[in-house]
Amino acid sequence: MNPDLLTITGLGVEINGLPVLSDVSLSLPSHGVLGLVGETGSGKSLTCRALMGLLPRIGGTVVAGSMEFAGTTLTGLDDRGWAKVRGRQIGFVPQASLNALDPVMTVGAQLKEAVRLLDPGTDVKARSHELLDLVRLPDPAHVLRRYPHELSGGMRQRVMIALALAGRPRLLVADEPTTALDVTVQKAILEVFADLRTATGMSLLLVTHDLGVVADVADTIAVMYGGTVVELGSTQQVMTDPSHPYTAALLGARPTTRAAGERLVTIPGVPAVPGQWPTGCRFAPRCEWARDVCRTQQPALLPLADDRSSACHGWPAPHEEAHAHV
Amino acid sequence: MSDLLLEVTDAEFRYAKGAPPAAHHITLAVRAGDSLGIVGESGSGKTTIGRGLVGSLHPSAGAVLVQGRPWKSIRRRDPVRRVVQMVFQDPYASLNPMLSAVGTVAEVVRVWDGLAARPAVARAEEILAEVGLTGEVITRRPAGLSGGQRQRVGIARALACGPQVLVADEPTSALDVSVQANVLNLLLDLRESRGLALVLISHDLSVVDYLTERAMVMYRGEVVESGPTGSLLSDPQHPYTRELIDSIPGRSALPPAA
Repeated sequence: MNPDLLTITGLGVEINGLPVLSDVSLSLPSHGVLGLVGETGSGKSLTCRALMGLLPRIGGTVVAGSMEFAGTTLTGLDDRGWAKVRGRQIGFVPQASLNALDPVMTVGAQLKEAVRLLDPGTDVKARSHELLDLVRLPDPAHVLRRYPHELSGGMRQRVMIALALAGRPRLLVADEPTTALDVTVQKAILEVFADLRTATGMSLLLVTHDLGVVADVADTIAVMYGGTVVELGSTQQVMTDPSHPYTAALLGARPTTRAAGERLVTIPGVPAVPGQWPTGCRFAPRCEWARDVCRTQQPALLPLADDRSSACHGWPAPHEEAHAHV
Repeated sequence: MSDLLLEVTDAEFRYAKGAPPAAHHITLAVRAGDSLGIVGESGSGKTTIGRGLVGSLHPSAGAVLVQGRPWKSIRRRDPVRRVVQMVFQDPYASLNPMLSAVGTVAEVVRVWDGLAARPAVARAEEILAEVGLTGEVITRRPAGLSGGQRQRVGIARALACGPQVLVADEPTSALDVSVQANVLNLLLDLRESRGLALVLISHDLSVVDYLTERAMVMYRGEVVESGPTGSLLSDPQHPYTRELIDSIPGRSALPPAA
């Protein structure tokens, strides 16, 4: 087992005094791919922002916990400290990045600027070609002369990934990198990520709302709900034998799990939003297994027997249902 | 055939004279209670066909008939317009931001059923209840509703004039998976309770598989394959269909259908 490259322990974040993340814990080994999964408002993008040191821009502060990355404690870094990490140690492909390129600069100008800034001393032109090769863009010389509007969505996303790679990061954080793309393009981008890991040995933190997307590329999955991590385990475990009722419901909501005409699993109520988190388990008001303890005590993310963790006071998981008392 | 609601015969659609066709050689039929999926990626022409089906785009060649009559011959207030209604991808963009949920539906009822304001509101409340919206929620404007609630309002508005066919263009693409499940269940309920026919336009094969009995696969403005949805997915004949199926994320890691 590789030592962990990234460990987040009990991270709590507030925006203007309002708690938006609490007790977020996850870890990512070197060369590993972690899928961070959750629905709108679960806190997955905020976790990315915290990890990139970008919270101050939205009025956010870390109020609890720690983030350790390759021997550096990220929590508590000042601006100069972050500047050494951001883009250099940790690359970032932000959400909705299809429109994040500068429309009046060619791809080449933007990529070369990033290389000059983040990777001084390299042959800028050669490295730009190499970066486009890494993201599998054919004919780099041609692409470098293009403006963003001349490229398709899939090509622009590849350019964004190339930009994030300019500083030779050890960890690449990608927030919903395939959400706006067609399925065939999505598949190609996911293949780029898989290849990058093999070619460069980097780790990947892939944020998505789609369990199917992470299932194809991630080794481990962290499921977020209501600003906290509710389940952490291997992809196989989480997808086939979830240990948290929210994960089970998410899986059952996918149309592929039901025969035509059969109703999908739905979750009653509405998602927990910051400011209206219930005391106790955030999921309790929507959970059919909730007991008194669930409504009063927030369950911690605790390790289970088989090298995974779950934040639940106990529910009859499908494989235990036979001997569960209801 | 009296149960033939929509009939498209070798239709071609262009957005401007002389422009290349956005879709061509399109032939399909929708009968009462049918469910038809139209699958394809961005730019494949699937939304163009949807617009053709609801009469907002007339074919440049071939014909689109609603209950045997071409859309072009149908006047604004002709009752045949009730037959086909559309549900849009982005309910936020397609709902009037100044109207409450109940106001949105009541307006349709008022116009089509000639009801006075008060009975129209009562009827709108019934329709909103049918899609699962009751109480204070229905007095909110779109900005005060969740994505799933907004899409329910979009569906209720379509139901308000008593359609026999719903044309739904990516109705759940903007929604989280747990919210999507609610909307998909609702569409199934409505098909059963109202005997509605459904034309589902989507890039998501799993949603099409779940909701439709027949499907056609579009690529660059043409139908490359069509047939029963089940066999299209289990035994695709066209290489593009195969590529689409291979691209469904998480196929290997997901448990198979129960």
